[in-house]
Amino acid sequence: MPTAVTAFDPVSAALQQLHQAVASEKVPDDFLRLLEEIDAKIAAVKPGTPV
Amino acid sequence: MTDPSPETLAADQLFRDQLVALIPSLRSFARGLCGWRDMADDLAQDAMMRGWAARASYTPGTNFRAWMFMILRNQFYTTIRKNKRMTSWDPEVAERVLVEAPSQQSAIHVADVAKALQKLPAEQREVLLLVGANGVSYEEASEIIGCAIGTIKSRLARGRKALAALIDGAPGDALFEEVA
Repeated sequence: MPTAVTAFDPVSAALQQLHQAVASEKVPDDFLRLLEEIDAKIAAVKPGTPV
Repeated sequence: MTDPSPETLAADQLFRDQLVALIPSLRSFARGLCGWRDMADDLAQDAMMRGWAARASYTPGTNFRAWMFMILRNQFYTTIRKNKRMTSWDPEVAERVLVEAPSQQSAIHVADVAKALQKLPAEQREVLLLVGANGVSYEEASEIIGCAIGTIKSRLARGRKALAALIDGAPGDALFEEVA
């Protein structure tokens, strides 16, 4: 049974590589600080958590 | 004020975890949309904060990625109306990465695709970024952009054609190179 061969498309490959290049970057500290803010908000509304 | 229920706390925690997992994709989509690293990260963070603030309107179990991409996209269009600079090209993105198939004679620089992307109309660029770069389905892209699947397909086809023409026709950049 022959298998379909997908032609290499350099534009598609480049688009995917663009995405991968950014997605594999270290997440900047600004994002971590934002997550800390969110964590603090979650912790603040937990029953029994001192405000 | 009454304490939130355990279900609400669990939902908040799940929402937060989904946000964390989506950060790379949000940054990538934002970077492709505005082509300016710092502004793209501001845009992604803004979308995260807006998403968090609006989490009560998100229905758990539905498509979280589409919901967040929609927020980011809306924020992008709101921002570019106020700031023309976001449509400019960021040279930081321009790493000279060569994409080639082993058996092919032509190759293309990723940076040139990124540069050409910024010259496309935003409506074509966003579809190329969603479907071509982020691997979003036609259905999901249709949900994010708020148009019919047929429109997504035609914008994708026009965008790919325009992108190829921009790359192929760009003078003096050696965009396609013969591979030895």
